[in-house]
Amino acid sequence: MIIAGVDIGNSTTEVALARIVNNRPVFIASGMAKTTGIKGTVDNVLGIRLALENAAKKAKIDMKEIKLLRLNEATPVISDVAMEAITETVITESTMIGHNPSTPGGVGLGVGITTPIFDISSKKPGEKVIPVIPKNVDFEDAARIINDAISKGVDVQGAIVQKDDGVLISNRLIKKIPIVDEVSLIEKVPLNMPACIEVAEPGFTIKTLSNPYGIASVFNLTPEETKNIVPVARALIGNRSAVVIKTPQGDVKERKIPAGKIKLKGKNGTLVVDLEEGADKVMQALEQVWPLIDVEGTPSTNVGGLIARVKEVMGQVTYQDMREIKIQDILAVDILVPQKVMGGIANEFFTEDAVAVAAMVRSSKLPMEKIAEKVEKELNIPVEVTGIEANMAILGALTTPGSDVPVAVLDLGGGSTDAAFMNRKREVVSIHMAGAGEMVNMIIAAELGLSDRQLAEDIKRYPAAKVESLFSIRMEDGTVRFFEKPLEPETFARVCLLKEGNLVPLPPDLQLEKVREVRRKAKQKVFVSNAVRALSKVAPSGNLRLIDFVIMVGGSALDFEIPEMISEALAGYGIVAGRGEIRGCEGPRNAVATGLVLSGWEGAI
Amino acid sequence: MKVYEEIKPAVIIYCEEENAGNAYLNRICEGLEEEGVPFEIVIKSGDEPEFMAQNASRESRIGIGIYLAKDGTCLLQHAKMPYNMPIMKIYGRLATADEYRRLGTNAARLAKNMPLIL
Repeated sequence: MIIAGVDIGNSTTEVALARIVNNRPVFIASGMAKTTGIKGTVDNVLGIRLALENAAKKAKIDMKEIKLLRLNEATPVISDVAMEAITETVITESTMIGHNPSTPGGVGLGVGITTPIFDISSKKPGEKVIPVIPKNVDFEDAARIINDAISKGVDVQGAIVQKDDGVLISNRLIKKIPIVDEVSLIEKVPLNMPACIEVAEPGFTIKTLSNPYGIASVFNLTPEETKNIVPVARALIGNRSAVVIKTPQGDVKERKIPAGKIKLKGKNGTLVVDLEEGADKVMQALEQVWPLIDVEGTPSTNVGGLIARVKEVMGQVTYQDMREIKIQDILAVDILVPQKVMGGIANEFFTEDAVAVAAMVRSSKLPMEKIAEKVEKELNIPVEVTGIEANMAILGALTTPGSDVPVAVLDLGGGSTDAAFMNRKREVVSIHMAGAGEMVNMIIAAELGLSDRQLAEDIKRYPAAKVESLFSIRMEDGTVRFFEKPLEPETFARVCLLKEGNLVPLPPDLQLEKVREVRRKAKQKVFVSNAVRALSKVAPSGNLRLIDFVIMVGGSALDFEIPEMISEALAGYGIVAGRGEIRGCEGPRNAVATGLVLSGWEGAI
Repeated sequence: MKVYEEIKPAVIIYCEEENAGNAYLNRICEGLEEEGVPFEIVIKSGDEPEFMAQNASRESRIGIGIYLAKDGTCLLQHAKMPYNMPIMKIYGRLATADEYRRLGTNAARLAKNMPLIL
């Protein structure tokens, strides 16, 4: 007789097949398929069928030979993630060009009046001007006009160019002036206004325009005006070239978006935290009021919208009224997101503060019986709904060689991070925490400014490398790998992901160090902090040091660095933590499905 | 014959005589100049554009060569690449002036180890 354990997870449905020999299960194969529909709905049946077929094919048996299907009581935990910026920068009346063209022309600092290129020849000798050169003017002509003006005595101090012609113009001039090029929206540059242009030596950054007093001395600002210019100076720090134009009403403002307050209702009281105080404050407050009953945000603020959106999605998924959805856990993380500046001239981006929040909802019991019924009808296999997911996970995880009770299992999934602890008496406590793989994806996408979620997923899953020549790449750890065949020109000098033997180029403006740092930080902030949080909730008397063994299972335990990060963090508490090796051969996958099969025959729980 | 060390590091552009000084060549040179990479123009004719581009790249001390044929076909080649795999190729008469400039820019970026614009 062959029986199957089926585990429906948030993102994958896993199957373990076992043949019963001498009243003991002998595992013959495991299968996996993407979960179809939302976990715990009848839409899952297709995924179950696919996973079963997959396993049956591996075991070389017919589906009809499967005589019993054991389905777990899926934990009705659904989670969602959202992100809101809490600061934004607005340029009213374009006053500043703070972008970094790769090849600006000339070097130095120039102050003058912005003038259309064709008007500079009519200026009087000695007048300080900065010509503005649109893209329809050829660089040869531009250089000639400027040279004529200079020889007439007009004091040309610098130039603003739309095309990538900075060096070409600079090379043809009789006088060295700073030139900022690739200003895409040049028609927005205010004309006949005093302006200052600065280009630093290669390898250096600008000094005057990134200093509020520098700008003040260039434009003779009052102390009051100097105060207002601070955001401009701050925004230009780290640039190699910049232009600041003084217009009567011009202004750059860093606006704090009223992020709103978050109200944490717990069994130990209620606390209100302002989101501006940062994610850490929110998490501290959460610890104080734990266990959580519900979370609310101030209406008509960002956080209010964020919480409402999470509840709305949950309501739709579970067919409940949004008002009845209670948030059981949240994970807030501070992030930095590049945002396009409103009113910018050259597509400038500023880094703004934002908060990412994952929330988890425990809905009423999921309709597992309905799924069971449908599976029985469609596949013609008797179905048993048994067992609590956490217990099954432990039972499965204990098939890892070298493990024993008391043990804690960390299930690192896509939607939530779950922990369960089994003591010597084989009693189990379990907990679900909001925030897991999907939140990491969201943070990576937000911090690197990617709109492609699949790319964010790939960045999470694969190490990056920089293509250094046509034949070699340098990995994150500094080692160099040589190829016999030349690499694709598209990947040349770019940061690429090592995806299944292929090189997938990332957008050209991403730096290797940045990609690595963002990826590792996102994993740290979500998985490591959640692992510690979850384990301390299930540990005997809340003390992490009383746990000896931790087995990591679930899809995210397959990650190339998350288990190591968690092991390292837990080593400080004297815990042996590692990736599970289910049945000695499955890796961290298939724990629950394996547990389901075992529980029916060993009567362990 | 010059001693190797005396050869200036430069991108070598082989150009068929009819093309010397024409607009396409100028665009290629602009791309190189804007990126600040030196180049040398050599008047040379030959049969197969791929071979000409490879020869140009082999003559260049930094291993980067360009061939511009009289029909406007243009190739960017690196000395270490197989001759039938140019880094970039422009087919004459189908191309816009901007593409020639981009080829020049990419030649320079190849020399500077910067991502190409494709």
